[in-house]
Amino acid sequence: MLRNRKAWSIIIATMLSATLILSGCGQTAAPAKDGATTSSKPVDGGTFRFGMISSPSNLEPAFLEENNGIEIGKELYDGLVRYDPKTLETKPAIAEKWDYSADKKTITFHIRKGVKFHDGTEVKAQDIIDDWNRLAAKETASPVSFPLEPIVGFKDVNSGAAKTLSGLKKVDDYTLEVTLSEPNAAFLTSLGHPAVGIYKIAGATKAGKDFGTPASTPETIIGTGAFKFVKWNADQDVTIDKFNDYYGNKVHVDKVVYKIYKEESTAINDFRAGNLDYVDRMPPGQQQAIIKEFPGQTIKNVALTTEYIGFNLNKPPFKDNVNLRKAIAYAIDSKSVIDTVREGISTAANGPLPAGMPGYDKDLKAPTYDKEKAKEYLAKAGYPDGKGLPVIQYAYNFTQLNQKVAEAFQGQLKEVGIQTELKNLEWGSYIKALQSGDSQMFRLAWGADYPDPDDFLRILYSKSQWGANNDTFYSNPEVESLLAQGLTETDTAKRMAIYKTIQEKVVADQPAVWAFNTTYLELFGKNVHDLTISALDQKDMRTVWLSK
Amino acid sequence: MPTNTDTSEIKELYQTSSPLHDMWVRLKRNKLALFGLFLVTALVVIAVFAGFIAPYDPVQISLKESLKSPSSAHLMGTDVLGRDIFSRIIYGTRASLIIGVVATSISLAIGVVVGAIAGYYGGWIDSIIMRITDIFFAFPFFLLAIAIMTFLGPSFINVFVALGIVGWTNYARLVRGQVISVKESDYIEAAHAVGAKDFRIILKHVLPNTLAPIIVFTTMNIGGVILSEAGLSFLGIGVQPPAPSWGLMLSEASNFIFNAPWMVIWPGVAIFLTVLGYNLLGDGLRDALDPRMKQ
Repeated sequence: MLRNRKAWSIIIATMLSATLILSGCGQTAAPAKDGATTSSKPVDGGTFRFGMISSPSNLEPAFLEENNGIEIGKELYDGLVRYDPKTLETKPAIAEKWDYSADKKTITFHIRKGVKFHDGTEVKAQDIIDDWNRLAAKETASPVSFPLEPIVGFKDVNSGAAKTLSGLKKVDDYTLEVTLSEPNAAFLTSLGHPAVGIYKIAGATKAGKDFGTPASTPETIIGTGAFKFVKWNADQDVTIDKFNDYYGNKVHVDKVVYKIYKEESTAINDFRAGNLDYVDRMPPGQQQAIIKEFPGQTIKNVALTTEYIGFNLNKPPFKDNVNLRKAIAYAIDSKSVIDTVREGISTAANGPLPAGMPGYDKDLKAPTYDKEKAKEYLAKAGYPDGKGLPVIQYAYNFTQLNQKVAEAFQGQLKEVGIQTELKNLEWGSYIKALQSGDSQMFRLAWGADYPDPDDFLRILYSKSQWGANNDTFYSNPEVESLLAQGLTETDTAKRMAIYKTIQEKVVADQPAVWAFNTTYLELFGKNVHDLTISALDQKDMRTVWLSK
Repeated sequence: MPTNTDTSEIKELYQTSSPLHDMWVRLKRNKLALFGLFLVTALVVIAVFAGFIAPYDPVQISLKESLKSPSSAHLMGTDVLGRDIFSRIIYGTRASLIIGVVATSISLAIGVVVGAIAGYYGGWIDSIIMRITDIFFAFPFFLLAIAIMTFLGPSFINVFVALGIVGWTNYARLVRGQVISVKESDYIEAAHAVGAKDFRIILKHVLPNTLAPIIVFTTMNIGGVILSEAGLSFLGIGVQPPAPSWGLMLSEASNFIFNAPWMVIWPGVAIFLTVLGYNLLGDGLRDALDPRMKQ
């Protein structure tokens, strides 16, 4: 399940073929001031028409695993905590505050009084316990139950041996005690994922198999978020309405309609025709033209995603040959690929972590393009000028962009004497091949599920993830013990120091070439104000407003 | 000088007794057909001498030259990877011609054998073979090719196989019809009478007399096959990158229609001229080979 989750994150990152970058901070749309139409005081009312590329797969919290589902789900279901869209800090939501026990294993959540479900009833501790038990249950088979994994009793519930998580205890209606198997510094952060969002379980029971599908009704999807579910016309649109009894900030728009498009250019044309207030993705090849066409109306959002070229460390020629891996890292010129193939939108990565991620080290220097060094390392690797080096298989999952990037890298490698053969597969068989170790060199991207470096470094470079997400089959005992330390260390400064060391060690071993941080180009209408987009690429509908 | 005139007329009469020459004489009168022949010949020459004509290596990537508009350095501009489009068009001729000719030959071989057997023997053999042919014929040509390509996996060789396999039904029908009309002729009767075997009769007496329509159809079909190759490659299941193929180039260009129109125009022009060339030549051959057009 964990595997699927990752797979999905990667799919999303891949399919949308954008990657990320920069500061990692959220960005707020700041339309050009054009006199009368712009006022600094938010206007209430109106329908925000959101152009979404491809349909969400499901709106049930337990299946919020891809971008579009998460995008809508986070408006419907509030969790105990939420991320500040600008800084990604973990902030109180349904839980007003929380305390840690002395051993850091028990967290007591104090639930805010007066938090209402969309049917008007109040949220109490038992509702949270019921939701989480359901998420962890074997029958639910959720691909995104990972936030609950550290809780005592998770394995029993997840394997079907128990019905309830023994680590969850209701102290009173407004107090919930959560016990973890061991201290876990990432646990609280991961609770901001909408999969652990709170909804009324009676509605889910009533809906049965229809829960979260287009057959859902406002009587079955009963969430706690700022917006309530209205309807989902399959492959057309999803409508949500402002929830008047929301406990949080004042929401300005009355309604959000997510219009679903199969293709970016159709959405852009609808935007040009004035039928949309926002478009989520731009057609490849036209991004610079769109920036020019709509000055001041685009956001380049740097997502928490790193796209890399991985080496299979269990197989020749990369096994035990760090010099060959370094040679490739020096031969690849990500910058020129960004300027051309990626239309100047993405940024070059400097290591495993994307820029906005806590623990990101801006001084980290993974090898970057240097032809002379590439040749030098190639000679050190035992293949001067590539002599004796067999043709390397370079695999990618098929998208137009991935293919162009692969062709460009192939050309750059050829210049130093490294011959590669391109091989593309569709996503399903591709990820299976990588997980089974049937690869030499491959492209992948990893997007954060929640803003914590553990979600990147342990998932991608721990031996426990072999056959799942660690497709390079990297393993380094030192890194392994540091990763364990990083997860249990609760002092943030010490913790980040640990992740700094981990990154340096991983970079020295070069299990991959970290090429790009994905950036998404997003377009909004002139009358859109205060649209905040987080580095998790989530657009906050709670604050946006439309001028007339 | 009546004598001279007589001689030349006699000479021409004598020469027209060769069917090939006969055809050539009539083809020469058809300007459009000559233009078609010129296009086809030019393509063959370009394909053979691609290495001498193309100024650059068609797969040489040069990101610094990305998306340059046509200039003296790059006659047709460059694509997003900085590859020279003119060189890719020149080399693409090879891919298109090879696939056109080989796939058509496969179709032709299957179609002629099946059609000749069905037509010559008739009866239940004919019924069974032709019903099977009908079944194949009922599949939309391009969908069947896509299905086969998906099954075999994308590669240059598989494009031959897929297009060859789906294209044979037309040949089978055509050949069967011709064989049926020829096999009742007196000279076939005569061959039977002297005890010739079926195989020999089909090969030596029947098929040569069905050649004209087959040549015409084949010529026109090559154009169609080249178009199908472009279609498959456009969909990403034909010739694989970085190999230059016009269909693939078009597909790569589709995102750049507005900011780099030269990427779309040149492969389009190349495909257009090729298909036009084969069709004009095919039309001309049909007229030239039609006995009713004899004067």
